[in-house]
Amino acid sequence: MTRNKLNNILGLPGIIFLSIFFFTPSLFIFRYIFGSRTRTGKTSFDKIYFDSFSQLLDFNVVPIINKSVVTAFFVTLICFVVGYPFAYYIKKLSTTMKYFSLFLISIPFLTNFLSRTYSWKILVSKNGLITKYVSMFYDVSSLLFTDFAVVLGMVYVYLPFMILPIFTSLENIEDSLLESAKDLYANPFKAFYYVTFKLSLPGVIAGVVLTFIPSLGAYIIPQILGGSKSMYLGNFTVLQFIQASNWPLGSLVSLIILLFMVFAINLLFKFEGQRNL
Amino acid sequence: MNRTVFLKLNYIFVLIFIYLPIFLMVGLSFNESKYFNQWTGFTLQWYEQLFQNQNILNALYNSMIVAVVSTFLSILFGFGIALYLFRVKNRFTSFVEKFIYVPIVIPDVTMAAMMLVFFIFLSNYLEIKLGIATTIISHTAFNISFVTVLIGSKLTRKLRVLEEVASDLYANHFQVIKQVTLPFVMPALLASVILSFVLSFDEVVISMFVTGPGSTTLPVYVFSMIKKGVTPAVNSVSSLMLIFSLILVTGVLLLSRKDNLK
Amino acid sequence: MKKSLVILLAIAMISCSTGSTDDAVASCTIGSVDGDLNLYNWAEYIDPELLEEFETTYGVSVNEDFYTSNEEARTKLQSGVNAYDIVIPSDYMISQLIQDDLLLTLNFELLPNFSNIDPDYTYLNYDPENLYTVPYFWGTTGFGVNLDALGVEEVPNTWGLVFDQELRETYGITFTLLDDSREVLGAALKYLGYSLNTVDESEIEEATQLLKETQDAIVAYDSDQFEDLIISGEINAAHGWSGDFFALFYELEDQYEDVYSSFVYLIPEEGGVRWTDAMVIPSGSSSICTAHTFMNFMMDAEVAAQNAEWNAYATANSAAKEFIDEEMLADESIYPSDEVVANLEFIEDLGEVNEIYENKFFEAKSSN
Repeated sequence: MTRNKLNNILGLPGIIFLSIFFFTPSLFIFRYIFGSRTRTGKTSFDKIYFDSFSQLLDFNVVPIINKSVVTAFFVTLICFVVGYPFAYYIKKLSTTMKYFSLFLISIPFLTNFLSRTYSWKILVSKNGLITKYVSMFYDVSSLLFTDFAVVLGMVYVYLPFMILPIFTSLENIEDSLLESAKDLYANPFKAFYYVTFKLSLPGVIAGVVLTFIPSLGAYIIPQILGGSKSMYLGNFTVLQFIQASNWPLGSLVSLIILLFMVFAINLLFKFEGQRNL
Repeated sequence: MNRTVFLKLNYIFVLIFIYLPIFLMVGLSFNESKYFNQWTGFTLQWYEQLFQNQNILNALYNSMIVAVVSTFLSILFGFGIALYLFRVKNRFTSFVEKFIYVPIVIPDVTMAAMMLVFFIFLSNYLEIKLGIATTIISHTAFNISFVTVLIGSKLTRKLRVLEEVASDLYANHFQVIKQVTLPFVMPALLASVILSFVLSFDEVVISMFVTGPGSTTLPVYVFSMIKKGVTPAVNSVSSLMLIFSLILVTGVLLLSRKDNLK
Repeated sequence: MKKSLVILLAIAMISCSTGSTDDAVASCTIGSVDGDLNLYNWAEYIDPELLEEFETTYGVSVNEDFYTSNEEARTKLQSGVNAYDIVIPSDYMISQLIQDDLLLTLNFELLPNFSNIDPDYTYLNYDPENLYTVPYFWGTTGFGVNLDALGVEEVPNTWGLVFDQELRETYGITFTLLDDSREVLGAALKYLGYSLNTVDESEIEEATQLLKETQDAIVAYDSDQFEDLIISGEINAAHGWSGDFFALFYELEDQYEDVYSSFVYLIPEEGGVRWTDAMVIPSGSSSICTAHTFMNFMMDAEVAAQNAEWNAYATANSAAKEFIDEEMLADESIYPSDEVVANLEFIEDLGEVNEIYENKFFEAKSSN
């Protein structure tokens, strides 16, 4: 078997699958963008419409985008602030404890995320533990359906997505490098920043991406913990598809979110300089 | 030393944070009262009821099938693509490398909508009804990229060196992969298995759009049953899932231990 | 070129399939089944015992899927790739579904129990010739209040409890509104003295403004779990459908000496929504005989009565009333008097204006 043939056998089946079942469906989104919502909610394609564009302009999407971006930012920030130290700490543990810790944070994710989110609902409700704790510092009667609850819920779900990549790249750093760093830099903080942190950057980038991206497009968590009171990009889009039956507009917004995310990723990679693959 | 204390506290805090809702969920599954703010007694009735609740059992079954099959396919395809991209460098693969991120960043809703539209279109030519198959296909479609990226991140220059050395030793390219590449990426591979399974199992929005009657998955069922809050029956399922996954992952880890020792 | 081919193929397919369903309907007999039943319904709208009874009596399985809004149901039905056999949408949505050719005409020879239905609920404006529907339940949308939590014996019967800041604060009302554009804007319109089916954009705008001003006071928009939130004390009042509240009250009966003096369901004096839900068979159905048999089964007097007592909505089945608990029938909140009903409006399909309501609702939601 030639090297080429083997490579092709490895890669092409997957690529073909994706072409048929991902790439082709995505073309339909483009098709819908240029359709028009009929009176009854069907989409008409008899000619090229630009309705979705004009509707988008009519709609004040700025507060919606703003809310989603700000929320995603906070979620990512908190995940990073809490997650990096966690990954760093377990790197120093014995192998057993290391993997056991990872095991511990991964296990909950094999339970239904909806019922975990509902547990959060309980915890932030009027008599919930978290509410009681927070009300020691602030005067609140209930945290349910607040932005705080939404952020908390998302941090909860996305934290492992921050921890795992950071841990992976920290693991890849050889201890000898860390040792020599300590010799090179008198100041331990400098040693950490210039060596450890920089070397773990690929993992950090991956973690940030894997946290920010889903937070931006989140639907379920804002819906359950946010009480449908605010419009985030996620529930705005879902509502266009399910409720308003306005598929052209929904498709347009989805595409815009997608393009924004792709753009953000490219930016991150340029900044990082290296590639993951 | 302050630093270590802070790190340790953070570690403990994170673990408590992660498990707080879990304990609540498990605890409530034994609560006699349906309502979460009253504890009226210990009971196993919700577990008993669970085994009689055909709807939940069906949904659970569907979710399992979809998760297992789509994980299997995703690993197959994803691992292959990762290796392909690692070993072949040309214009085509550069393009694929970039495009492979799209399924990761695409919002659930967009993915859900385009899969639905795609199946609607196909139904003009083929007899298609939304069901398990369409769900499996949709889940695989987005999972492949996660696998590819996760495994890909482990395919470093170090591996390349190892592979070079190995291809001198082994005549067959298969052998190189089997003896060198595979063990090297094993952690990432295992992580991908778990990740794929979880992503598929927890998927709500995409499943919502592409499942049909009788093939509802557990998250979709739970989401649509939120009328009475989460009845303890759902907590029971989740608690059982927890135990099941504990067993599963422990088993996987133990097996990989054995391989490593070899 | 290709597009027109696709359209032609699609039309050919659809006309072929319509042909075969006519045959299928013709070959059914009363009580016959031709496959399992896929039921698409609101959550908690059918007594599960009745479903089990149907399964054992007729030897088929019933698969239930749920939707939380009429629009959601419509989206799924329009996609054409779902094989649902029975759906139970509301009035205004049914007229849209009929216009879109998404429903099958019923074969009333297979539905002898149709004679049990109250004639007042047949031939309604959403299905003027009554070809597609069998009425299921009807009800009202109102405002449920936990008097105990407020510490009062009664509250004024007005939407002002929602929209009037002074009134809200006097009683300390914390509440949720239904997550439904027509219902919420409808309530605002009624409070302002307009019809909830108005096509006058300035009136709709006024209602939207009112809603925006109320945003801060709204705890959440919720159509599914306001009962839970009342029980947990998160809110002390909620905008909701009649039957949901009564199911809640019956459940709480044990905990309160007299649950009816602790809770009240208000149908505000300014007016509100009355609605009718009906059973329909979507055109994608593959078990048409079973669907008809199911409809007939649900219209049986005793079955309908058991269902009515279970979900606490008003039945459209007059024969069933014989078997329903007297107290329930006398309860004016479940079976409002003709006077009250006269003050209520059905939600109507407003054509292009439908979109305006949706958009305005979004607008109000994204204003904070």
